[in-house]
Amino acid sequence: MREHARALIRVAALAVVLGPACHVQAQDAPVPATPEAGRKAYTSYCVRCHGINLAVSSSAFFDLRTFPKDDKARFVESVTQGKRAMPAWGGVLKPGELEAIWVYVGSVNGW
Amino acid sequence: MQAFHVGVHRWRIAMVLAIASAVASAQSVGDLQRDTSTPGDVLTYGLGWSQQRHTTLSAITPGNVKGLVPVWNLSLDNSANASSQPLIVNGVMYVATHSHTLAVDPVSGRQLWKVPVELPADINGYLCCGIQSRGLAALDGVLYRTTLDANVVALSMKDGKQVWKMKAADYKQGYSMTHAPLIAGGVLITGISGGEYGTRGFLDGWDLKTGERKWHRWTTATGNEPGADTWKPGMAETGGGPTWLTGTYDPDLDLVYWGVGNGSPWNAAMRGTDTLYVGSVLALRPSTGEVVWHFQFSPGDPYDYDGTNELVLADLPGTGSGKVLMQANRNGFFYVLDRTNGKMLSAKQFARTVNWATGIDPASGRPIDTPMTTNVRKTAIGTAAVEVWPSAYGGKNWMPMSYDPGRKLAFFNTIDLGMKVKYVEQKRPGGPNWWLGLELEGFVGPPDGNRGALVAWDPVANKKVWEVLLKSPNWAGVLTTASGLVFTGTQTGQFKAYDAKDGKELWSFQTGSGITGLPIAWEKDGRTYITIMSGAATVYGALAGDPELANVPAGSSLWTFALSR
Repeated sequence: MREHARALIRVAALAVVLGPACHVQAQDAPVPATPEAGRKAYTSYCVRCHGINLAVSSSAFFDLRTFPKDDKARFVESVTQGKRAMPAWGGVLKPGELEAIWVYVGSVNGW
Repeated sequence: MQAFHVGVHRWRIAMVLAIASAVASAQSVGDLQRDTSTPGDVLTYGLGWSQQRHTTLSAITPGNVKGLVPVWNLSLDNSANASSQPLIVNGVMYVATHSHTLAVDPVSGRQLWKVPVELPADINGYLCCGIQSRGLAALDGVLYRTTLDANVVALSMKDGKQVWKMKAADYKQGYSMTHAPLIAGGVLITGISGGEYGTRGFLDGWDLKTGERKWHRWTTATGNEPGADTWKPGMAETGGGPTWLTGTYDPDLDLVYWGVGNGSPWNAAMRGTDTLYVGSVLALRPSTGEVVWHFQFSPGDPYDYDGTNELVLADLPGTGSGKVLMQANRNGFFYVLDRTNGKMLSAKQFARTVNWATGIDPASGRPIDTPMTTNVRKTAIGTAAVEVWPSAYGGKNWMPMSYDPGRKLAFFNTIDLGMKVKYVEQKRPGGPNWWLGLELEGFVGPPDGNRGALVAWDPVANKKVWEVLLKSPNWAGVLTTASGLVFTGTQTGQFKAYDAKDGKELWSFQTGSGITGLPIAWEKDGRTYITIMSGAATVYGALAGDPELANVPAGSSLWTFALSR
């Protein structure tokens, strides 16, 4: 009886944490590392500064069309920790999104 | 440039005395009301409660403006947007940036004091459209400003020390503030930003002395409020309606006019029908926030057509009560409303290209939708992209116009761009994430490549008088002088003077970054000065795909000009 109650409480707690509108499966499955998935994530977080299809013309924002293709470590650090005016996205991106965005940037730049 | 042959010690004493005497002669609400008739100072955002941005100072004329030279430049030590307007109060210039508030001796250009704004490290993710603080309010020795993380702050003019600070909203919900507060009816009034983040817009009235919140007015209708039935269930609570630009005030009618911005998400079919009161103007009592009348420019706001552009007050005899407010709306139409009762007097297309409506119905004030818009209003999930003109930038964006009450002409900077959007259903993401409900596929330039223009508009005859076509739109405010000059700046950094008569360019000066500030004119010891901030805005360059601006660096500073002598 106690085991059953404890299990119920655990499930209830999980539901409270995740929220009523949430589907556990969708929340947990990482985004695939494809250009299309990356484009969607890029549109969510990055387009407002880095431009549609990376075509930015404000010198305030780094032009991702010039990003060095062999410096993924720099990309990961800048995005997750933030850099100058760019906020840190590490705590915001969902699983897989960072990789997908990198793949998208590569696809636009023809890497 | 004036030579300054005074010893440092004596200069310092003189400055201390100047500041002390400035504080001693505190200004009153009456001074704010008379701001336009005391052109030597600048006590309000907009150079007056009507925000006409016009000066009667006439020493600088079309005939002599060629002799306008820089007298000083002050570094603002940041690389953010300098989309802001200084004040001149009792002989001291006050400036707001996103990160600081500062006082400057306006004749010498020397900084007097500077205090920082403490901001959270993650705030930039919650700003849709640029890092800036557009200006200040001032009264009785106190400066008032907003902060990016949605605080309202009162500081002493003497030294910048904080008098009070109130949190208007939690920025982590998607809120922020970039506008100058308004002092009206003995109350400090502020709005809010956050229309791209699924927030609910509002206005607040605060006690000037203590910061105690006196009233709070939501801008979307829920429950029993009139207009609640124009929303789909549950959508109004996250429906947008931000109030991100400063309102105007008529002290005789005791009405504040404040614009309400876009609906959230941008996808109108997801939200409802008219979705009151997005895309509207509210006329409110400043002491209570009670809405006396409203007018909705863009029912349902299908295309991010904020109603927030400056609502300039003017007297136009022969038009209803003769007391009007005018707005060059994002949606491409120039509206003239009777400001006593909100009745629309006229609405004519000012934008070069408009394909979302064929006009505004004179009887109802509602847009006459094109088939594209009829379809967009009921299609939450589009099968293909549509091309909309004007784009989400609008036919005119935030950069405020100038109205010359002598010539009865309005002068403003316009944009001619379309956008391709495909409507998609999107759940509200929360956090520092945009909620648009559409895919923004790109912006489209006009065939002749002129993405903007400086326009002179007759609000009585409802037509363009002249226009100066521009490859890239100007993103700066306009200032007119009674002597017939029109001052504005370009995104490539030139500060220019035009002849109000015909738009002929009379003078130009290259500053270090794009100009997106609001020019002011002021006077000291018989000499007229023009001050402008330089420091590129980012919202256009980031998204519009305009190649002309790729080589404009950031770097904010303050420039002051006068006739050489």
